[in-house]
Amino acid sequence: MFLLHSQYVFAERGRSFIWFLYSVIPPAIFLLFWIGALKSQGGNIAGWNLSTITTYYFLLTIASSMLVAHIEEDIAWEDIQEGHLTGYLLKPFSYYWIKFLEEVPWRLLQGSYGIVLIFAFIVIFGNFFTLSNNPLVIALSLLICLLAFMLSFTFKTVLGLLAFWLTDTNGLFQLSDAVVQIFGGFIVPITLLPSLLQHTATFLPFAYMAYYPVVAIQGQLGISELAKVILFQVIWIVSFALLYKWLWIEGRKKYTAIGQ
Amino acid sequence: MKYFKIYKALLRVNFSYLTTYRSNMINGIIANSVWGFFSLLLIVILTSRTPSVFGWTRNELFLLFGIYNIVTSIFQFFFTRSFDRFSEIVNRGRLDSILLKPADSQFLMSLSYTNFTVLLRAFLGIGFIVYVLIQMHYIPTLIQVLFTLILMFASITVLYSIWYIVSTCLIWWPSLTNLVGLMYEINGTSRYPQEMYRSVSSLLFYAILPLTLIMTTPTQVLIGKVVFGNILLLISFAVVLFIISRLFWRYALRSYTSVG
Amino acid sequence: MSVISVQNLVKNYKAYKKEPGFFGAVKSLYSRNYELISAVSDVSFEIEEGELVGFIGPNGAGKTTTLKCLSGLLYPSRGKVNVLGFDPWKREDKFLKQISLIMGQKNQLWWDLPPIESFLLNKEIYGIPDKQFKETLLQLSELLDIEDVLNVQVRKLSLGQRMKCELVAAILHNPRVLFLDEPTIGLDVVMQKNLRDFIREFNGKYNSTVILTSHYMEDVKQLCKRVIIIDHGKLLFDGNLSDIIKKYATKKFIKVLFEKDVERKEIEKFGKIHAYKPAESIIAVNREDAPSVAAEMLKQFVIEDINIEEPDIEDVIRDVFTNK
Repeated sequence: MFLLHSQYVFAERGRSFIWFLYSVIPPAIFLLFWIGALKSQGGNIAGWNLSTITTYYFLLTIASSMLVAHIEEDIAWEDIQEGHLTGYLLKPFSYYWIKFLEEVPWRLLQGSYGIVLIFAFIVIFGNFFTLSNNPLVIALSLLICLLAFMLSFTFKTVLGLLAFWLTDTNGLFQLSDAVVQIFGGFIVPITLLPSLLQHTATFLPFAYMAYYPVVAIQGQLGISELAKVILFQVIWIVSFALLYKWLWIEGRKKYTAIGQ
Repeated sequence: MKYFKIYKALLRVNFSYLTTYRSNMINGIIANSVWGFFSLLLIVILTSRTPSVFGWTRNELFLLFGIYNIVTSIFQFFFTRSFDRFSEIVNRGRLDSILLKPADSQFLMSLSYTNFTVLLRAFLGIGFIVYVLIQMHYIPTLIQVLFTLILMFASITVLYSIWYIVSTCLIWWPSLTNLVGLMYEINGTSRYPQEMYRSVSSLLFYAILPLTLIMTTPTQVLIGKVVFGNILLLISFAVVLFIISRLFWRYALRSYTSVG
Repeated sequence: MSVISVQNLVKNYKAYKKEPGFFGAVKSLYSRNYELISAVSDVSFEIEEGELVGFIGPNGAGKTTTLKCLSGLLYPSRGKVNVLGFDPWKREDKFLKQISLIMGQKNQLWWDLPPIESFLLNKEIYGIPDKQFKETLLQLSELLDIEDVLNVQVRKLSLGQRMKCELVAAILHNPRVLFLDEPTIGLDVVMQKNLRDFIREFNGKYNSTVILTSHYMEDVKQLCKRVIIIDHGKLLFDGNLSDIIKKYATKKFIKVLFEKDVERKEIEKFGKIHAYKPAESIIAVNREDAPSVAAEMLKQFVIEDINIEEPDIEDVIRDVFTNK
């Protein structure tokens, strides 16, 4: 089943490449902006310099193409509203894990574009990159990345399930998109946000989806801070998973009652 | 005259659609308010720690984003819903239905669907610009405003032509349905000062030259920093790109009608 | 001057072939095989104003392709096409205002709005004057009995009502030539009949030229005097429906009702058995032999009823296709 889906994903590589470009262009533009801003501010803003900010945005490209799930539209529109959910209900596997396996090939494909890009740039602009070289830090950071994907995926499935109750999920998804962008560090690193927004970001799960994985790999966090991040990721994942469970049970009742 | 009547009828049909689907309309109002606000918030976030960059002051950057906001809102009012459906029309054989009508096919493809609620963003943009101008203690002359409007019209033409040319490619690559979505991102490159791109690489700058012009030029006129070369270029691009879009579309139709 | 003139029409396609499976997909990245398909090869015919002509052929025969060439949606690989004095492929406004193409179940009405809104939009696109628009709309809605649903959203209409409204939208501008591609596909028996009645009326009342393609014999039998048979892109026959039987039907059927049961092999002596029941049988015999065979059977058996019948036109045409 995985291979079949992978074949489908490979056939879609043209579209997949374009989706990859979606995740490249905004960080690239923000990076250009910061290069100019740093120049005008003497090379350092709030602890970020040219090389750390460049690394940040490059890693962000991979993060947004590889770690961020886009499953909410599929769940809400295809499965719930169009009724394909019925097909899944009949399968003997958990809906959550089937969707998980569906999402993974896309992320791998897009991540591979990103990794190629990064290697190309490391070769050309090697001295602009700052990554950690502590193996323990790297190991923990990779764990953080994995957890970030799980977090993003669970959060998006929860969003998608809301389609059981809302007929027009478009507005909600757009709002979620905007919020995730700001508080996930997709526009600027969290520490560069205006103070009010920065403060809010600490209470929200979005920073753990992209910002922390990126700065972790960059080596900006110490071991204890990394542990704290992992702890919070797990807490958020469990919370959303419970929320998912509850929504799934309630939603299924509603769905099968209507007989979509 | 005939096309004016046809467009009036199209507006009527679209407006009927808008009022028939209340929840869609409300959703559109919410989504557009969110995005309108968000896109203005973007420049506030980016410049919160930099009073000036690329030779533009913070206020001038605000104006640039405001103009971007207005131009894209008007562009979206007329065209984006039609562009969103472009691939559906080409792929599902509905292009035949359009080709059979005694009216220009490019006209019908571009203007059949109107997005009314996006005008909210235009109003937000206008409000924002007025606010910033007051903060700057700067009042543009009537002639400046007039010229700004004329240049904004040229900018919309440039945007439209580029989008149309890219969408026409769907005739040969029908699976690239997210190409249109990519255009939204590419649009986003235009809201930054030209200087940002020039400082990175002349090649990049010349590659996206039309895009860098469309927002910068009207803004420059508005704040009195007129660059005649830019004005000439913008208007030339508007004319040339529009002609190319028509010729390319005709060429694509020849190809389409040979295969069906 | 015929309304439609087709000379030596040829239309070819390239069809790309791909191997199935994951590795086939990868292979297609660097090597592409294609074959040339001849959708229409050397077809010629002329049609006069007011004719109601049927194109029959199996799926993929080239009927739809021919219609698309006639309406300007495809340009011919070779040959000349002239409709109403125009070259269809140029798609001039004056030409498009006089024709209409209705393809199966493809719809042009706006789904979420009442049909009247789509009609008004078409009015502007086709440049129909107010008075003519009102009159035509009145006539058509009476004829099709859709006056009550003009202001109901299309999505809320039944399939039959929707089909009628699509029809109105397509002919509101009083086209001189109407192309119908598989118009009855997917409709139930009642709707098929209604549609055929309407087409007949439309052709009679407005003297418009109608060309319809179908793979349902019933459509053609009911509506068309003249029939063009197309298969594998080639024109096999062009003439009256009744002539097909004379030209292609080599057999006649003798249907016999016996007073007493008769054994199979007794009947087999007279001809090929088409259907057998102990007291009732149908045999196929060569046309010329039919009367003499019938006479023989009357002598041999005690017969309650005997009938000499023409073969079903479907069977004739099926034979034409399977033999060619």
